[in-house]
Amino acid sequence: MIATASGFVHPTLGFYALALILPFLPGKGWKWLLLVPPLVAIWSVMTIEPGLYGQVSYLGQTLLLGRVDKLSLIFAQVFAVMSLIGMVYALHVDDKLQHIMACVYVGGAFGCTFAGDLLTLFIFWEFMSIGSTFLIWLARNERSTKAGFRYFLYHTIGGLFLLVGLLMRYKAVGSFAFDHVDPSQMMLYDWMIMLGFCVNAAVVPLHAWLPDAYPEGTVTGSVFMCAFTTKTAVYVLLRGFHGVEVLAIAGTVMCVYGVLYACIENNARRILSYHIVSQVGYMVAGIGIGTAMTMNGAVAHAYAHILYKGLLFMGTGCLLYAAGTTKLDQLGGLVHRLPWVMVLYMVAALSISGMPLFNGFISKTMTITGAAEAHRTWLAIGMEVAAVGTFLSVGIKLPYFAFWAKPANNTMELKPIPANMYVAMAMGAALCIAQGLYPDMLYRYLPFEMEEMYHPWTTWHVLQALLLLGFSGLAFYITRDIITPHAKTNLDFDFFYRLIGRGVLALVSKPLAWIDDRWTEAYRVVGLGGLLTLARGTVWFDTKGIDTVVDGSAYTVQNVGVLGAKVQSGRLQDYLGLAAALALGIFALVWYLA
Amino acid sequence: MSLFGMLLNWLRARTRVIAVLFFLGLAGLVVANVFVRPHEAEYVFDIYPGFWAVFGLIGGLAMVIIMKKIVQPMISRGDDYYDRNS
Amino acid sequence: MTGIIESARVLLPVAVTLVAPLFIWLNRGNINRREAVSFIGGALTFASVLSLAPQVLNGNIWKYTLFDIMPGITVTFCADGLSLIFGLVASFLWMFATSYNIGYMRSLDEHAQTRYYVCFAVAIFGAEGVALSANVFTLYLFYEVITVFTYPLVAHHQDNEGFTGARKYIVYLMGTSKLFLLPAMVMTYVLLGTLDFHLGDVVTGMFPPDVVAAHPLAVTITYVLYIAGIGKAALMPFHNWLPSAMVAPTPVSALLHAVAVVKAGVFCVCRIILSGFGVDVMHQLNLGLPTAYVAAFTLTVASFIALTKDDLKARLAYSTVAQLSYIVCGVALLTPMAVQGGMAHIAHHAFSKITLFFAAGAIYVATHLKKISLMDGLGRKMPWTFGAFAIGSLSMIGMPPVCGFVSKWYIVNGALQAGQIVIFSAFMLSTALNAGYFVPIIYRAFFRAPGPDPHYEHYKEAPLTMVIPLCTTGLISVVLGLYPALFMDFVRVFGKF
Repeated sequence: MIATASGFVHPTLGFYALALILPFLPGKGWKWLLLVPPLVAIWSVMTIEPGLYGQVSYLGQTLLLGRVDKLSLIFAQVFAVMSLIGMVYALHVDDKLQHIMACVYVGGAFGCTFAGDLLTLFIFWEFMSIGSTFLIWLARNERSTKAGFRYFLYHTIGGLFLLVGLLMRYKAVGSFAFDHVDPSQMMLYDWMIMLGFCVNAAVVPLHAWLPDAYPEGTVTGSVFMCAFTTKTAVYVLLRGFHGVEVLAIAGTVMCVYGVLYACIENNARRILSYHIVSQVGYMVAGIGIGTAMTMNGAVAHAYAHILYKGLLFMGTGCLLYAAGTTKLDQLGGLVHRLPWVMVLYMVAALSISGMPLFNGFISKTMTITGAAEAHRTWLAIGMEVAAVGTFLSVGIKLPYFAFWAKPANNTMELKPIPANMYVAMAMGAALCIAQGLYPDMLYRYLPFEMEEMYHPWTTWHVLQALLLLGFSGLAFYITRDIITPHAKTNLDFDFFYRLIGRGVLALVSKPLAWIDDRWTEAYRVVGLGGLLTLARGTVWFDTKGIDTVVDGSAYTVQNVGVLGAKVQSGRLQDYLGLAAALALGIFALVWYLA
Repeated sequence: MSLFGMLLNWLRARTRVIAVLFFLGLAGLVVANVFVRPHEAEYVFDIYPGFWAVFGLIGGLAMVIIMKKIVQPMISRGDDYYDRNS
Repeated sequence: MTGIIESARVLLPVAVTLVAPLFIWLNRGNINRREAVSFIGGALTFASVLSLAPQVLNGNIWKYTLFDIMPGITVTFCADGLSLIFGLVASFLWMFATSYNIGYMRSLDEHAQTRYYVCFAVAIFGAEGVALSANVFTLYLFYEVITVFTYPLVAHHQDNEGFTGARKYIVYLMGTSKLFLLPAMVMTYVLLGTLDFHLGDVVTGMFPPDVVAAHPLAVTITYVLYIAGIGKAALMPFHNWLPSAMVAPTPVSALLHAVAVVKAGVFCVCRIILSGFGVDVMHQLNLGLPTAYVAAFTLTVASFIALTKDDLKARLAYSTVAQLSYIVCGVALLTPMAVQGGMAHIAHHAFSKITLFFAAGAIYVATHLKKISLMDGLGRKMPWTFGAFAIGSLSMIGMPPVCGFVSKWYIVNGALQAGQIVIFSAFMLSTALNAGYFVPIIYRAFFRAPGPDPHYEHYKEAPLTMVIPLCTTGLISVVLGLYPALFMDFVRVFGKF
């Protein structure tokens, strides 16, 4: 399964090659190799021409590994950039397995992006699942181990939805081609495929895996994860299911649901995880509405989101690395000791809130305007509400309680943060600002044709954003005592998933095992008992004929005992004799029947 | 502690000043909203000055109060709720 | 068109494996020479089976009659695509199993090793004989040879547990074969006057249309007796011998109960369905679907039960029961893709399952641990063993790029082709359940802190003679996943319709 092509170096190749050779490289110098696959990917994505590359034969099908067009290119571009930033951020990690799994994961994401058919997509989808599960497990603590297992089980089931859908589609349509499905003609298998995509996109109510697992990932692993799984799902939804109405509604629900939970969460990375749900909601809604502007908005938002979400996770990752926790009730008063972390974090926080000057402003507003122009007023309002909530929770609450809130904390022990983490964050921040100032940097790659270009930098847009954000800030100021986080677990849908898991074990597996244990003894009672009786019968017949003088019952009992011993030691003569008797009987029966 | 850190501490000591600046800024924005308005209302109420200010403020307040005071008490459990079970 | 090649060459594998035990016994004085005989025997058997391959891939079938006993009852051998799948796998893995045996038996200083190796070799003799059988009589003969000569292997430890398990083993297998398989054979002879399989295509079977038309009930009863009689295929409710046979030393469990004995069982089922009855008769008498449902039931229930087992070998045993039903279900669905998938799974499952059992044995040799709940953190001490275990597990779950994905893909596609949504769902459910009972073993071993075990620090990998085979079979599982053509060629040459 090697992707050969006329001139297209599939980014996955680089990552998988690195993953394969990394275990065998000695010493310390191998760390610089980590930057090679991302750079190769960036080069490849920027220079390739759209087209179809890399057809291979597997399992009797022709797989298309390299479908290159504007849509896949823009996603691949941001994936490549993010993979570089992520690798720089992870340079300090000595654990090779983390890097290998990150490569498997990122390579899988590229594979999904360029997949031209559903079978290829499925294969790389599973690779991503495996890679990301390990990124959680490699945090190597009690919570992450269990969280990783739940994550893996959940994603396996999600993958099964996809598999069922694509197989049923193959049976009905005869091909695995992965193209847009007409929303008015969706069949059961299309819904199944979409369901599989929605699991990875964390659509409510299938989302609970995200806040359950992402906070438990490694410091550097979560940075990768926040970018790739959900955005790959957004990409495939965009390609296959734009215009599906239910996505528009589900997306808006996600927007609001995510921020509501983020307002009450305590763990900083969990707040960010709920935010992913919220922000992806913008994208899913945009896909559902289906006009060119909303879809471009979804793409632009995905691009920007990868950058600023990555930066957010990097910032909180630094907090985790330095202070050992991301629980807001245990942090606070650290701004003077981690000033640059705070600044770089705020760049991302302002981006995600849609503050002018940063890239969130140019992407989020496009989606909302698109929704309004498509006359989906309620959806647009929902998105604006979510914008308020976003600023409240991620833009103000998180940094406030992480860095300020308490008097200067000089006693908490902080591990020094390695330089590469700062460099990576700076790269992310620079891109956020650059795109905010020069939106065309992003806009020129947008795949869908719009009638009129969207201009974010108008006076009204800026004013509206500032008004919205400014007064949300005022709301925070007023409620800053109420919103203080406490160490609590908030129940979410994963309560039900766990119930199902335990239920299956208790209601199905254990009873079945009990029945099996009873049945396995039945052979002794029924089988052996029956055999014994039969054998006893023949011997009785035999001995009665030979010697009627000896006490019949004692003889019989003795022979039963002997036979019992014979059977116990498994001698075969008895079986053969019995078999001959049976064969005779059946022979007669057959002769009669035939 | 770095130079930057000291700067931030200096700022921290002057929260009242920053708060006053903040309120002045907000007032300025509302005034600006009287003059700068969208050409066409995306929603019905866009046209009115101060709409977005009110939206942001009320929305934010509602969100925090409803979630923290009403919803969270219903759905929150001890920090180690799941660790004991699954 | 398939040509028949009459040649004694097809006897070679059987001859080698017949002679090998004798030489093992003769060399009982020098243990290294004795083990060498096993190795060489395995290599020679594999080579002789492989030598039959080129002609088979061209579409020809080898045949040779050894003994003419009665009109219609002969001892005849043949080699076609299906034979070679099983024959190659059994002989190839015998070599690995020998290396593994050496490591296991010597590390534990087991008694009666000569008897062990002799019985092992004779069991392979039986397996090769089953693979190369051209008629029911020969098949039955070698089938029973396997049963008889694996009994001492199962009862090897000669303790109470061993005897109880072995007794259940032999009662189940002998019981089903004498009560059902023997009568089935008799009925076949009475109905047809011959016991020869119909070789060359899978559509026509042994039963000509006029016989089927005249005696549909008798033919159906014969089929049911066959399926019930092949106890080695572990279809419910005759599956309990498999978990009980786990009292055997692990190499026995590995080769025989993951590869040779159970594969002989499903091979017989495949042979009976495809070369005995043929797709047409199966459709005519509606025999395929009920069989597939029984298999689907088995695989679902066994997967649920596996979730509750803490003993590693017991869990693997129930997994084997389920995976065997994958094969039976695939073949019984009677669509081209499903049949091909089922046959391919004979080989793919063998490589993956033997990896898993080898790993279980390695764990036992290194740590004397049998319970999964005690294996927390063990992966850090035995990374190669658990790594190979992880690969085997992925194959069972059916994840690319391991070979289990390939065969499952074909079977599941075939189920859809046949429009069998219930069976299709059973496979999907089983995938989720497989993940549920395999993945905890892996993540607990690698990522959990070890329990309060005083010996934990001293644990390390099992001897190389055990670790190398298990890593190699794991690697082969991945290679087969990436290049499935290796076995698919045999499948296609046999099962085109």
